[in-house]
Amino acid sequence: MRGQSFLWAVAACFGVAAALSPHQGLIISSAFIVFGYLSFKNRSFFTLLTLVFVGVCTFIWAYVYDEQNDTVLSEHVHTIQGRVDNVPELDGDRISFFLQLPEHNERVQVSARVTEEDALAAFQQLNPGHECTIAGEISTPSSARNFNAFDYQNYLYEQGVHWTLQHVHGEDEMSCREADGTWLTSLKQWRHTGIRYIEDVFPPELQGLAAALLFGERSHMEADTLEAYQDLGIIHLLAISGLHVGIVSGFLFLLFVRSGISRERVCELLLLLLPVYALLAGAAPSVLRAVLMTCFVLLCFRFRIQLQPIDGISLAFLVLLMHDPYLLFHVGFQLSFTISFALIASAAIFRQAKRRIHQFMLVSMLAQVISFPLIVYHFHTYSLVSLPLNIIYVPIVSLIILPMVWILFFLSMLTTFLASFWFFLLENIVAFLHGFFTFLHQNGGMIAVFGRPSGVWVIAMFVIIIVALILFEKRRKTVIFAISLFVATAIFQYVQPYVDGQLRVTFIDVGQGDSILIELPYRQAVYLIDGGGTVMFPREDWQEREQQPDPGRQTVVPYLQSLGIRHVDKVIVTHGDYDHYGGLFAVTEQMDVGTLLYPRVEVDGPAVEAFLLHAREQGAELAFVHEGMHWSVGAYTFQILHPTRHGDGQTDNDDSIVIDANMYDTRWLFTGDLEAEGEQRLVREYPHLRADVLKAGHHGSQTSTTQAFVEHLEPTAAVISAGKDNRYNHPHPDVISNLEEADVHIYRTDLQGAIRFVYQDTGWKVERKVSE
Amino acid sequence: MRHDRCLQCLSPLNTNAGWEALFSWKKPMLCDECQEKLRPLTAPWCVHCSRPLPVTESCGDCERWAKTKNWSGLLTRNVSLFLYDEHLQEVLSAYKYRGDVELAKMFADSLKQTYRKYFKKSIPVPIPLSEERLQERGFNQAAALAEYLPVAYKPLLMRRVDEAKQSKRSRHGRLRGHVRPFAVREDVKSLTGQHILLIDDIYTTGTTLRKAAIPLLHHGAGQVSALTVARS
Repeated sequence: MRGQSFLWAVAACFGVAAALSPHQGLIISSAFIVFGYLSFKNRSFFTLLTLVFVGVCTFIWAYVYDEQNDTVLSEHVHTIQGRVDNVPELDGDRISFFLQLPEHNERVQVSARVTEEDALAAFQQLNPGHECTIAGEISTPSSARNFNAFDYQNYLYEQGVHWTLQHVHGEDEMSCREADGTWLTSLKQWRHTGIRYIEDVFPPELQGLAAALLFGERSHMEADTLEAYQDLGIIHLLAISGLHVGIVSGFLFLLFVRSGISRERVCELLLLLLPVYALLAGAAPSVLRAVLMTCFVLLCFRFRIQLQPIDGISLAFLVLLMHDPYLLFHVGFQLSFTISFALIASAAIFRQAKRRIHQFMLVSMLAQVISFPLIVYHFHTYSLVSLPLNIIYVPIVSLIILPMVWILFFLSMLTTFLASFWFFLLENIVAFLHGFFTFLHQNGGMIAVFGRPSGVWVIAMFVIIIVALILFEKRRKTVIFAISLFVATAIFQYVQPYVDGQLRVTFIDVGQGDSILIELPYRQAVYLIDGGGTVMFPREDWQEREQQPDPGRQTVVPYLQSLGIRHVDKVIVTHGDYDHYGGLFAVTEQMDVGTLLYPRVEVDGPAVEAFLLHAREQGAELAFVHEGMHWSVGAYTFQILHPTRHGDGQTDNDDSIVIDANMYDTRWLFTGDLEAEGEQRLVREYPHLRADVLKAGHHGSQTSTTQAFVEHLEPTAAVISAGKDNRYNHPHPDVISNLEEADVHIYRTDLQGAIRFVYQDTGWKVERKVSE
Repeated sequence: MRHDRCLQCLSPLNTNAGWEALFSWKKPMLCDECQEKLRPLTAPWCVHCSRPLPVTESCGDCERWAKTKNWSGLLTRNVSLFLYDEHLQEVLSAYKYRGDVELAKMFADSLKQTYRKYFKKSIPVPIPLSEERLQERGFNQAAALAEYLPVAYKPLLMRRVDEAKQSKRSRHGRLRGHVRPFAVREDVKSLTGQHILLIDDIYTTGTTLRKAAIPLLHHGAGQVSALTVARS
């Protein structure tokens, strides 16, 4: 079995993927290619049998596991009863946590809103293990409403969560009490206490980092800092992994051995303590991997069995995957195992480096290279400063910050006086570093946008990397060809949009608001009409949430990046309403914007003015436009029909920029929030105006899309961009009936999520993200 | 799973899980330790006989061959794979005298690569053994090596008279030995202009190879080179 468990891990990987992934045929056929190759490599038919056997077994296991992941609740349930399963998260007036149902392995995500500040205290007492009976409105979690977007429903499903319960404190019944917990719940309570202790004792600047490094809890990090960590490629330092587990177990080992316990007993002791540490540290996949591997090493040491590192990691992989097959699709799991595996397999390469510093450089570079395909696949961007930043920051974290945080955690319990000096010192170091990261991040951070690659690209990249490493290991000069191929494949993904002949018009689902992306073929131009924006109503301070909804940051920018868009030629702000420009802050910050078009009317209010100034600061050129202006790229023409030269609309909405676009002889009319009066003007002034696709004005409000306008334009399709279950009840039934009477096909983002019109070869194809 | 041991020292192979061991279709024949004991010959060396030199040039011995009447121009070049040190001597004696034919496999990859690199399109011809020696040894060590070349070898040569064992004679003795021990087999047609590649296990002075080249050149071969495993 020596060195062979690696083969089982490969087989299990395919088995689980085949059971859980929608691309079953592809996976099974590639499984046979890989199995065939591996058994040919080992010149053994028995290997093939073993691989198939393990693959089938894990397939069945994952399939059964998935079948059992179902719900006992239904939408008619009003009250649920269960046990609080994790540390409740407080944000402003909202508390969310998981409630574990009794008798069935299912959890419900509870999201409670508090209407009075006094009631918050009750929620702060809530602890893992508490028995609760909660009433509220139950609903299925929302699935992804945009293309290439994060699927929250699936994310919860993989954690055995099928429902969310909305509870409003004071209006709905709720009762909680402490209950006799198992050792597991008391561990979770310890973790809670530990995090609370950090909140109370650590200086603010340190809290987030300390909670992440000690307890694997990232939610206390500031949103900006966290985003910088993510985009700059140093987020892995916040994940507790081999480094932390190594330090902890090494320290404990020395401590126990020094205090006179025999090595065998110390091993046994650590085998008991490390799983406890894993749970206290939040039990993320990286912690579990590191702890499992350490436990295997200790077990083998204790019983004097030789263990190859490659077997250690393969067994840890198998154990974790059998414990929870969904982990296979977890980014952290994938990265943690891929990088650790690569480091283990590269032992011979590292041996070639004579000096420590060279070894460290090699390790850093290898980790970057091997994680590159996965990072691009999941996040669509890659920071070019990631490597140098890691080379500097990894030693700082592992040699200074991590040990100091550990020591301070215990020191502060003994003496606050002594600790305060060190707190001061560390706080300044961390504040400096975080300031530096956010500065880098705000100034671009050399972030290259690659777009979402295909699975084939990821596989090709890994094959190239493996070939390159084989050649590098053998010190063959031909490694230079493999490296060139790696670079070429990366560049191919980067320039891929420039060879893409599709024309796409996407109505992005930004909730209540507008955001329309137009991509001309071969990246000749990219236009963004509005960027959504969530209108917030005035709140008390205590209600203010840290995580504000921002469709620009959360939806528009990620979607653009998934398409490999780095430069937007024109951003058109149809008018000065927040639900049209609010999301554009993020767009102007994270994208290179050419020109920003705004109607030539009096800028209405300081908020819009601030936005326009911000956009200009970020490098966008401002252009105030009116009727009669136009531009074209090849055969694609764009005419501005509204507002008039004088901008005499009655309301802000009625001064919306209206664009008549002609693409492949299909005419599009983008109307912003234009209302009846403006529509009348267009009918009057443009007697021959026609539109094949009409963006219904003002989210389908009654004040727009009048019968006369529809009859005049004779559209075949209309798109209404409105939020799901929005508070204005858009679109209005009159608008729907106006369109239906004129026999217009209606697309609605509130029902269908994002809607994408794709022109390829000879015709248009419409894609809807959500099926009704 | 079978055959997962080092050809030479028989220790398990899977313990060194490097990238090649994990992913390459090539099956390593030797464990890392045994592989490292082999010392491949590379430049700087003698361009004619692969002897390690401080700079790449022609070594003194080869100069002497070139200047000697009757001996010059017989062998275009010899390429040897490994340095004939104590370790390789041990391996080759196990191979030749103790009959461990399988050991030839450990040279297979290098033989193939070297053939492709230096001797493309040449015809491999193993140095033959006399009937008596073949009876005694059971196999021809040169032919067993030639088996691993990318093209089939041709047994063009035969040994006329048995010589005393080479390894038991001094350099002087070897040079003065029987002048024409080899002959082209009778059924061989003319070798007009062909490139012949002699295969043998060791290159010591190069006398044997040169003697083998004489009848081949007489028979019309364009040039004769040699590929040998060890260079002493």
